[in-house]
Amino acid sequence: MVPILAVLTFALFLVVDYFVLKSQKKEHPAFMTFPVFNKSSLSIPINYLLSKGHIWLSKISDGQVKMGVDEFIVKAFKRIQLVDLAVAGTEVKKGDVVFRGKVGSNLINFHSPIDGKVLSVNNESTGKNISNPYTDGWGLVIAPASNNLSTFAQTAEKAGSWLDNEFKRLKDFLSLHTEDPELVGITMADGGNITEGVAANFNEKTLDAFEKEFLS
Amino acid sequence: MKANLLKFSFWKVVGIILVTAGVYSSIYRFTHGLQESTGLSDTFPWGLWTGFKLWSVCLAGGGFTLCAITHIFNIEQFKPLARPSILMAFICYLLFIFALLFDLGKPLDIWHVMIMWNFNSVMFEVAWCVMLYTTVLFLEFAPTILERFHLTKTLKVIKKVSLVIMIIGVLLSTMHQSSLGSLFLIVPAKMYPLWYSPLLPVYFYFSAIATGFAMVIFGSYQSARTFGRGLQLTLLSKLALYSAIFTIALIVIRFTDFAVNGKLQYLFVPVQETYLFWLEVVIGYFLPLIIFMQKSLRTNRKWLYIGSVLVVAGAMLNRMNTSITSLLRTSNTTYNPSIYEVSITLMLVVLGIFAFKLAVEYLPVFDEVELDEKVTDMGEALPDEA
Repeated sequence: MVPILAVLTFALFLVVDYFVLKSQKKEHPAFMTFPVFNKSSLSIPINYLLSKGHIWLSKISDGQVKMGVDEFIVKAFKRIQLVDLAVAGTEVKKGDVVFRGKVGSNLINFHSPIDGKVLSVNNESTGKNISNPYTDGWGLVIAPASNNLSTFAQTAEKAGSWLDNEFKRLKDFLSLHTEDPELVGITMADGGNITEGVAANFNEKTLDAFEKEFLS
Repeated sequence: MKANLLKFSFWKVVGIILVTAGVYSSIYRFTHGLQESTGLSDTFPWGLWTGFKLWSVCLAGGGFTLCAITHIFNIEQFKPLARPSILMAFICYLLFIFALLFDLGKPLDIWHVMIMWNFNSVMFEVAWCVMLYTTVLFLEFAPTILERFHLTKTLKVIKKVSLVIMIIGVLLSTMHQSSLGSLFLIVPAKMYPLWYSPLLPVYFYFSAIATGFAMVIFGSYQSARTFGRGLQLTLLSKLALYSAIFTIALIVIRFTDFAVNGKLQYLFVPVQETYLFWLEVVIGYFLPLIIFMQKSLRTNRKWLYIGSVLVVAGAMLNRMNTSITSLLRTSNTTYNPSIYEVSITLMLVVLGIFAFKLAVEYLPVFDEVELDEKVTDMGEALPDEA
């Protein structure tokens, strides 16, 4: 019966911990309604590039680049769908709207970080909540106008420090724009950490401000 | 730091009580000997501590698997998980060594194995693998300490030889995980058929890999819980899938072995061993498989956690069953661990958790540099898709 004693002890500690957290009005990460959202929540696949406007790029072959919305945005909004994607064959310039994100009933614009021609569109993910932004959640395949991205891609020396800064800016943005004190309580739970879905309830005005601040 | 140490919390109080009791039990064990302080006897010399040692080594499987994935197979996306996994493995091996000191009749003679070589002993291989792999784990973890204290010269030297260290580490841990299984090959007549197999080294190795992945997931949740970190669910759910693949391999090999060696009838004999066997495979194999094989469940933070807990608990059952349950029937005795054995084991667990917490708080364990390395300057040409 020693194995059972050992397993029960292990289970007992986990259960007690669950209730200890509950008594402290905290949640276990496994059962969080609003999971903590910080840099360690993000995992950027190797060879993917992040643009300042939160669009990722990945070369799939010579002259073809795939793009989509990065995980920062997906986790910030929790439920976001790509809609109004640029049509195949369209020429896009850096800064043009290439697709929009639908958040509840509101829309937010995403701008191309590069010049190029749209080659294909991911119709399968259109209108569906993005769950895997770097795989099946891609939006477009583009033929970039130039392979030298330095002329049009926004620089971020290192994603780590850039993301740190994005989280700081997001916190500042929240304290400036979030009028509902209850929402601030949720978003800043757990020692000042923001939580996933922090931007889910932005109204149209706040979304516009968010777009200007983070996506342009 | 001072204020943090003095701040009391529920778990700190529990930890202090368990360590105090453990220290008392340790003194009692070393002053009164094994006979008086444990439930062990000459007819049944391996008990709770042996099971605990086997389990802690099994949990350390995440260290070598993540090392192999990131440094040998060069799958860099898992790099953010490598350091915490190595730390976890290092602590698990230290726990193994400390538990061994309590378990040995003459702990002061532990150094004998270093100069009195017996090539015919499985214990000899086990002992050397533990010594060498713990040293390698320390070297694998050393950059974290060197970075913290800005010892750049030594860091450069270590980084130059890091690949060799990692390869040696993977080799040694492979040998050690399997040699712990080999340990039981010397007692085929004493073991209950559901746990004895000539393939025990393979079982131990595969289950260490499956459990290692699950332990990395479990550890990530505990870190998220303690340090308010986010969870890299994409990476963790991939590890869950890998864990499931090795679990399937284990099930296939184990049940094929039962069929080939005529042991299937033991699966339905109404005895304690059968119940414990089924509990082990249901908790450790089947339930986690149901969770980890379904994308919707393994990408769900609640189910991913539950799955990892089940694998870790299943590994505990397996190692305890192998080292205790399987040997009880033929020993014609009973074994109940003494309060001192339980207390010392709990103390070791608390010290292990405390060591992990201290390391994470004061060393760059969740290294941010690795994340930085993944993203090229936007000025460079786009690399090929991974």
